[in-house]
Amino acid sequence: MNRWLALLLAAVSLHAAVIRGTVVNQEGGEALSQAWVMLQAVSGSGGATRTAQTDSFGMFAFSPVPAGAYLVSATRQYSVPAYYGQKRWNSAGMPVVVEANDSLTLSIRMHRFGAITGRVLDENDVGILGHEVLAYRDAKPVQIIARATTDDYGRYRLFGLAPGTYLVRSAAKTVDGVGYLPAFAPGSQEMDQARRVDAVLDQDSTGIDVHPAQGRLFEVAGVVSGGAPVELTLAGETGRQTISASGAFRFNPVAPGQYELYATAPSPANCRASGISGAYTSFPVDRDMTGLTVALSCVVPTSITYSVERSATGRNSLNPALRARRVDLAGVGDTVSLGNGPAYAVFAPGQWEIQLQPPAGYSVTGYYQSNSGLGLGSRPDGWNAFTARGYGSVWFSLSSGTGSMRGAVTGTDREAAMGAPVYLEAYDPKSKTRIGELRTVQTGAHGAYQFSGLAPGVYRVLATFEYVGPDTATMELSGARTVSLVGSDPQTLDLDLFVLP
Amino acid sequence: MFKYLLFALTCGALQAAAIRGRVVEKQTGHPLARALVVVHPLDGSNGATASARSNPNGSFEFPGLPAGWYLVSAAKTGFAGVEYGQKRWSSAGTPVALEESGEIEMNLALPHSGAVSGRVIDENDVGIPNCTVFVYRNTRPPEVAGQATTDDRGVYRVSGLSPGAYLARTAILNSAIGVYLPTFARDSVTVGGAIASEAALDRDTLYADVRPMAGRLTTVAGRVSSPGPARASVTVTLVSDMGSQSQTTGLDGRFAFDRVAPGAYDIYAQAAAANSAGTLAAWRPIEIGANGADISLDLAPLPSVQFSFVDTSGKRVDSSGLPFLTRRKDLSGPGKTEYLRLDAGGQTRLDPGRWEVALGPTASWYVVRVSGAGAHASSGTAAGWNEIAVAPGNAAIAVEVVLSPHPATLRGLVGDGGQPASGAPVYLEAIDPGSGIRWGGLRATRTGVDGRYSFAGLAPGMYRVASTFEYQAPDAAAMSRAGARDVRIEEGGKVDLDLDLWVMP
Repeated sequence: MNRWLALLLAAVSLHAAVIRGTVVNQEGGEALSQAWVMLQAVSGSGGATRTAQTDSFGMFAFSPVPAGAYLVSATRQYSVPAYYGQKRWNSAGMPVVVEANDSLTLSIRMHRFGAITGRVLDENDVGILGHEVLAYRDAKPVQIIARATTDDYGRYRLFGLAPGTYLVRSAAKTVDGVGYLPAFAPGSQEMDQARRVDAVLDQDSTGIDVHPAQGRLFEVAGVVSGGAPVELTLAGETGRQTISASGAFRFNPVAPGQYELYATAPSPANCRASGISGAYTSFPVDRDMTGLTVALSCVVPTSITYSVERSATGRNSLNPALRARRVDLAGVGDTVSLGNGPAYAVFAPGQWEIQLQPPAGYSVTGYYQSNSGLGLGSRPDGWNAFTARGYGSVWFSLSSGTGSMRGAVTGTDREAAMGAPVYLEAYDPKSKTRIGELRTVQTGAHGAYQFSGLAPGVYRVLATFEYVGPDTATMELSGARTVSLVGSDPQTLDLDLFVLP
Repeated sequence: MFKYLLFALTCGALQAAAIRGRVVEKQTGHPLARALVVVHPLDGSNGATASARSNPNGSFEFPGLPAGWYLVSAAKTGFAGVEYGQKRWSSAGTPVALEESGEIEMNLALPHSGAVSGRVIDENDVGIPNCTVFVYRNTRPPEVAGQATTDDRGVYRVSGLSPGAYLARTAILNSAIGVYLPTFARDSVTVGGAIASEAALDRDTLYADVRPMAGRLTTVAGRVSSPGPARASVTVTLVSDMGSQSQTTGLDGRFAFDRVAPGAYDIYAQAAAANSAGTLAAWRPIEIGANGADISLDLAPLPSVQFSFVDTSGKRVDSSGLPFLTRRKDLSGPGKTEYLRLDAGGQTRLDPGRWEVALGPTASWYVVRVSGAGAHASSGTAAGWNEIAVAPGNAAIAVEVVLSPHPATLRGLVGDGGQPASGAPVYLEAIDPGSGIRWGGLRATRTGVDGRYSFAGLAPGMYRVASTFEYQAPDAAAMSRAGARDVRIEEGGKVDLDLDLWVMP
């Protein structure tokens, strides 16, 4: 850091510099075309954030660039994002400093994500064709990270995997009249007996074969009311099946276990308020279930109320952004935007999570839903559980008295750490889990950082170049500091830059 | 064959016999569970076709079979099917003779189908992910045999291929810095410069790499107009030999396909007519150059096609019992074959476009000529497929099919060293007397227990016929190698031609 700090310019120079370079493949050293390169000035230095794309020689150039300190990063499809100056693949980048009239040439190497390969084999070690294989992160709750389908030799390849430990599982399948139960590699139905597989950058982890046991799969079928094509989804822990049906429906046979079934259909004539009808049910499958009756009912839009504490501003002018995502046994679905400050929102029946993103100067301090009372945990500023039953209402309370946190980060050399990432997570000390998403800022030219718009509650904060987007366990291991924010008083907390020993 | 013939039975026996055996993976010898095994009695043998699945040990058994001659075959998804007694993958299976109370044990080893694989790479040999690759049979025009998508390394693999020559070709590739045209391996935009890969059973044919070539895409835009009030939801489909893409128009009837590669296309439009009065449609074949095309399509009721069937003396033929077949033909290949459904007056409504018609197998008629609607014998002879162009619009389209009630028959005995050859494959091809090129498809049959074969419903002309176990579907060159005999068949002729079973030296 010393070297850079010595070169640090106090003010933006009027003389222009050039930052150019090449992006290459770590594996073979080939030039990578079509990579996006981002040049981000450290706060208080340099110009605006800029992007460029590498040409067919893998070259990029930013010119003219005001003198200053910059973070340079590169992204490309199926490559691990690269940060210039990073120590390891998951470390943050170090800022580069250019003086007026400097010409700087950088080389950025990009890694390929890891892959896991193997075969799904029958009782005679013959490969099974067309078997779906899933990769889960070895963590709870289980979340499917990648999927693949076996070829005619039973081979699969799961790719795009960040380094880490994974579990490989074959899904339920009926082949030539025989049912195969879901199985973790090498052949267990229980997760705790599953083989742990490490995904490594630029490599395929090979030979992860699965021998699924034969067993009884069950039919899930029935009738759904309503003439319009109904979209039905059956969700279990190995994934979702979605079909379209009018009247009778039938899913591919499934393994025994707990399932959720949800249905939606457009009903503009009968359900004028929402335009859709829907149904939701959850049940264990331990036998053929061929007589299910799914009765659709009109979805009534959920009323959303926002009350604002300590503010003369009417809620209508706040327009906080509302987001939602469906949650089922297969995991968390895609996040959808419900607009800014909607008075009503249409939720198809089932389990949802909703999050309010308040405007600057406000924080979310309360959440209540009529269907099952309080939501997830104790922090309304994160994702809140919402049970959609086709009716109901939701209240959010916002406060104009948001908290803030600021301070300076000092490096190991006792000097201000410039361009250092500072990570902040809202934290539930009881469950030791993160609430909502990680927030990140970079320190400015003098090592200063600031977070604002914080709701009251417990937070953990960490400054380090060692990680990009550390998870809550990494925050713990890196000695993240815990802070309680009460009301809108600004907190000052100076941090020492964490460096791995 | 001698060995079998010694056991040949002239009539069904009363005592039951059995065929049993094991199905294995050819590469490893591992048992194949749940393979489908079929036993099929030869003509002249008692009994019916039976099928069973192999058990978890790969074993199968057909107990209680009447004595006789049988062909035995096995199949499993992902594997190439085999017939018992095949010398090579391209040979025909040989029948087995089952004695009274006899038992036959056999091993059926299934090879994996062929596969073609390679990488789609950019100018720096870096793999391009998420790129669609089509694999075509190396015919003219090429026929799609399969498709795959490249993985994160740019690797693709198309499996399930029978042995033969294939061409790999990328689909249009759009990227932030440019557009890549559909490109054949290795690196040719035209089929003429493509390099074929030879697929074989039980192995992957590697290195069918493609480096897509940069180029310019264009736009095909236009408007669909319809009779009466403007209508929304007209489906416009653009078809090429790379497949098809569709769009739905708005009330203004406008459509635009951007990023289209230059080449030959068929463009179709279809909409439901008002008052549920059927369908409106339009079709145009177009050649798209570098500057794109502006197309105007007029929707009209489906054209009415009037088929008339007459015999060679001009007398009307009642076609109601005849198996006339039809299939749609566009640039992406022939569609599904269906029976031609005509009303009492011989009319039908077809979507505008190219269609093919043919008379299915029948011993009582053959097609002499098809005329009208630009008809031509697409397989070289009117007795095969005949292409017609069903033009859009209101004008009635007349197609006349001239039939002869005097088809010929070719029959005879296949001998093997002076003995009749039971269950021997017999292949027949019609040839162009001028060029000697095959017309239409290959016809195949097997001799019965008595070694006799017969082909009926033949149009007059020049034919070549051969009998051999060495091939399953011989091409013209293989027919020549197998010593195919030339035979001229006259109208209504009943030609007797005995053949010698050909065995590869």
